[in-house]
Amino acid sequence: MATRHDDDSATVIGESMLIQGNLQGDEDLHVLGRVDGSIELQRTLVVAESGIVKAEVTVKNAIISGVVVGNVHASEAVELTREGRMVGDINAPRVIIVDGASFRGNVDMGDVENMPARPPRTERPRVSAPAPAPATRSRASAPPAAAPKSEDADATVEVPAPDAGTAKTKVQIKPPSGGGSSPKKKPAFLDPPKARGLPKKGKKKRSRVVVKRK
Amino acid sequence: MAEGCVIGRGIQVKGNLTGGEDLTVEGSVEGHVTLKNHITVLESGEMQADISTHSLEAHGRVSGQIDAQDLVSLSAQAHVVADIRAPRVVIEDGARFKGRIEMDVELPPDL
Repeated sequence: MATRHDDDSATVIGESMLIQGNLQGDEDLHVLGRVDGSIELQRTLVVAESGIVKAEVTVKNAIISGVVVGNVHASEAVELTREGRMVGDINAPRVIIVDGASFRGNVDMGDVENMPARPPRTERPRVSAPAPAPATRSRASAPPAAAPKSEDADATVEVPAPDAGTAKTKVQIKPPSGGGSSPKKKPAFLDPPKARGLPKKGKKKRSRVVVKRK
Repeated sequence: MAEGCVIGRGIQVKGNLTGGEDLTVEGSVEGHVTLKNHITVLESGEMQADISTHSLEAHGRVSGQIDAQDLVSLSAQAHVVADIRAPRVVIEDGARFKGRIEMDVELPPDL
């Protein structure tokens, strides 16, 4: 069920899909349907608003806008967006909970007492799709997959090399019972935020001279 | 910031604190705090307390138990080791937190 794009590779579990079992791979995974079991990724898990994950999750980044029941282990960051609901424990160096999200469980970011007051990196977790022109000063209100802030000169941005050739996702899937929705459809919130601050060009009214000839 | 009670930078409070006013903590508070209003712990502030309040905004260090009727928010500068029970909890990117969070989570019926 892998949908390959030229610039990034991501697997999409469509809205009508149910996967029971283990899912592992080296691609972004977008869950619009349901996954029961376990998920192990070297990349980003995105649970869309319609998505339900009931699993032990081990990933690099997780962006949760749907429902997750189970423990999430992330090597980088976990973000619960406004629509996100989660019951379980989170273990990640960076955890972001946005107003509106609901959560019950333990959060462990490591050794809190002996950490620097400010983290060395401030870019938001994101899917590996190359970011468009950085949005100008949008922060809290930005969508979950917002572009990284460009002001931080010393922030190191890890961009995984797009080696689509070696990327593979092992999926054990039961044949879909109903008519599947198109997996190629990208969830709307993943669309890159439009560049802000650019003055909109109003349509110029052109004066027209019509010469009628007799 | 002038409104309500301010525990200044050089002040240490040990014991119980009750009241119906906003509280701003720049110094240090240890013990039990019960307030009907809003608590702000500034970056220089430190609270080691069992806190019962309407809402709390942490920019500094907080440890203990936090019970809020509304919102608990941890800013990017916050260092918090606590169990939080509140209908709304916000953790900003950069905040350091360890502990339990209890919010009401509405799950689909089959989960």
